Amino acid sequence: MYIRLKRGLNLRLAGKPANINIDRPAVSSVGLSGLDYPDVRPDFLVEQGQSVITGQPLLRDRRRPEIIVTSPAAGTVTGLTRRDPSTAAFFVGLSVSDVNPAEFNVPQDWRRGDAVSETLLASGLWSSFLERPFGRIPDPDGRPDAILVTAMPADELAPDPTVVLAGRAADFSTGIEALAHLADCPVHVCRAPGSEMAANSVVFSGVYPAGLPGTHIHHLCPSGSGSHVWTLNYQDVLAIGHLFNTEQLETHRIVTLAGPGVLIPTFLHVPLGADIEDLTRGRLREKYGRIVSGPFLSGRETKYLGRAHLEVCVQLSGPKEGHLSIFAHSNAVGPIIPIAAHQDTFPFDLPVVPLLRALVVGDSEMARDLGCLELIEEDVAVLSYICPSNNNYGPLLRSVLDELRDEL
Amino acid sequence: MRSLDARMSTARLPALRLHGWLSGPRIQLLFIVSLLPILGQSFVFYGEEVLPVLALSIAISVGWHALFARLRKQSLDFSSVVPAIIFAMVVPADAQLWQIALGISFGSVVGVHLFGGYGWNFLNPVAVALIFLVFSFPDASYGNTFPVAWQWCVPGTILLVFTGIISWRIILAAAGSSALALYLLTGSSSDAFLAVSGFAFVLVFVGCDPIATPSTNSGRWVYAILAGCLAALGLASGKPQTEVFISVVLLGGLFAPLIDFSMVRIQMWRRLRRNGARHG
Repeated sequence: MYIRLKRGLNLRLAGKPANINIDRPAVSSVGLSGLDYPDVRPDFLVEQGQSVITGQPLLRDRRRPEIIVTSPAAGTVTGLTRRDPSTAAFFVGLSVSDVNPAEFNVPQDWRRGDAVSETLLASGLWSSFLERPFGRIPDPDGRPDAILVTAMPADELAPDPTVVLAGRAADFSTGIEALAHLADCPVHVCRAPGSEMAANSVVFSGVYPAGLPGTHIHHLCPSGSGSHVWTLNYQDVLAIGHLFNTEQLETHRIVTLAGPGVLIPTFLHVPLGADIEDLTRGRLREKYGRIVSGPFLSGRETKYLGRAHLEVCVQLSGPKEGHLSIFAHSNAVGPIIPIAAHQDTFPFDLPVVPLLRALVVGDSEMARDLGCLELIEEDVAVLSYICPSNNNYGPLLRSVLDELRDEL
Repeated sequence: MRSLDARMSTARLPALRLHGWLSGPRIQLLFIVSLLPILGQSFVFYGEEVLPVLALSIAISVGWHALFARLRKQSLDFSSVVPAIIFAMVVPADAQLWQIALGISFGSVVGVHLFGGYGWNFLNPVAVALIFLVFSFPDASYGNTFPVAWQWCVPGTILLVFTGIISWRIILAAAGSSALALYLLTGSSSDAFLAVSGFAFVLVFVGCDPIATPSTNSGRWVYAILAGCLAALGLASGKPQTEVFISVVLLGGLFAPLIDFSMVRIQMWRRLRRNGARHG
């Protein structure tokens, strides 16, 4: 299937990696943030100062104890916070001594019964999944109506999947096979044009946000209608396939360090939650600005690489603002002026401006009727970017989604 | 209902605020840049005649804006200059200065500031100002303004369309539908072209105002085709151009919320039907 998206925004980001050499920087510490494990309320299974091995459970969810978070590296626990004041989420910090993959027992007959979901839960790979609507980690006994594998860069700076997947066809196909055993539902692999990949893949062409899972779901199986769709990225599929093929828990991902603030944009092979300082040391320009983990528009400024983030974007420090108040950007929130770009940059067949107005006034019922259940924060980042009103629609959408979920 | 700030602060993600370069004030700047060729041609062709009208119009509009901004403790931007310039281009050439002052005052106060400023209003202030003049002084000759040839609108139109501010759909559908309807009504293609090219300035700078037009793409098509056909009807009955165009734009603006509402309902219904079987 080939889906051509006409709407979107050409971000024209500078600083893509020019060659495909993959560096392996030394990482001294990793950090896991609750922001990447939405709705998980931690019951810590380790103590401060305890030494842990790769794949050891660090915490489990209080409400759904089958969901655990495992350690991406061997080392010592240096920080345990139930609720970090700046992010309102838990945090686990580790100082790293060894980053080799861990042995992990997989049942021989994993193709039968519930072995796949049990293995994914026990290995911590379950948290690769995000479920729509609401964008949370799916229930262990929940079953999706479809699974979408995002094998497409989120924006121009994210790694090209063909580079990452080169030579790993076996792991990828085993991963897809495992997903197919997980539930009796279609598994779609969403990819960019020109990349060779397995059968039953869907090609999406277009500019940002053509690479986001929300866009793919909207065109393949809209989730606003009571169906549940799980998404995960291709590197998590590789980790799943690797686990079932070799009984090794792979906790590394290949990410890009890119953007105009980077001296030589490059691919990096790093553990989940790697300290961004370790990744950027000696690689930035003198006048670097904001460092963002995740996609250029929807990532976050943080000390540690996010769970599903495949890129670290470094911008140049911006010009000083405030000289000419008329030309400078003010942070004040203004009215939504419904310009043509609202509809033309948003590849969803939803009434954009009425939806944004519903989000701003917090009318959750209207927002639901207009289709907000299909969206999570990253999908509306493009609207926050182009909207002249200066609103940040991600948090506003989350507040409406939380309200709708509480009503269920 | 929790306040906007409360909802922003309890959200899951720490708010990364990454915005593009578009903002309300910058949209106004782009409109002014787009109007520069038109201002230039009016100085060249009409010289000193246009200057007092323009100066008065801008002074009064900015004055009202400054007064309301002071009362509301808002900062000033260019949002009052744009309608003042456009108004000076469409006002009857034989209008008295006090009439012009009255018109632009009505337009900016009733059309914009009573609603809380640019962006919160729902009608175009130029259309409001001119319709006020049309009703108050019906004897003025509305055919005799400082006409703007369509060529001078082209650079500004390209700028506004490519920056994503105005919708090409409105321009295309309104121009196309009015030309077609006029051709059908009068049977003369040259008449149709003349009328539509006279429409260009008002169409781009008043009829495409993002505030006063529907916000959905389907709504924009409906709005533009409706406006185009109405304009053709008015012109075929021999009414002066400016009066026809401004009335049509104002009427379209009044109907824009209804058009949007209907289009959103249709879209919701289509979604329900498409996802219908599994809707729960």
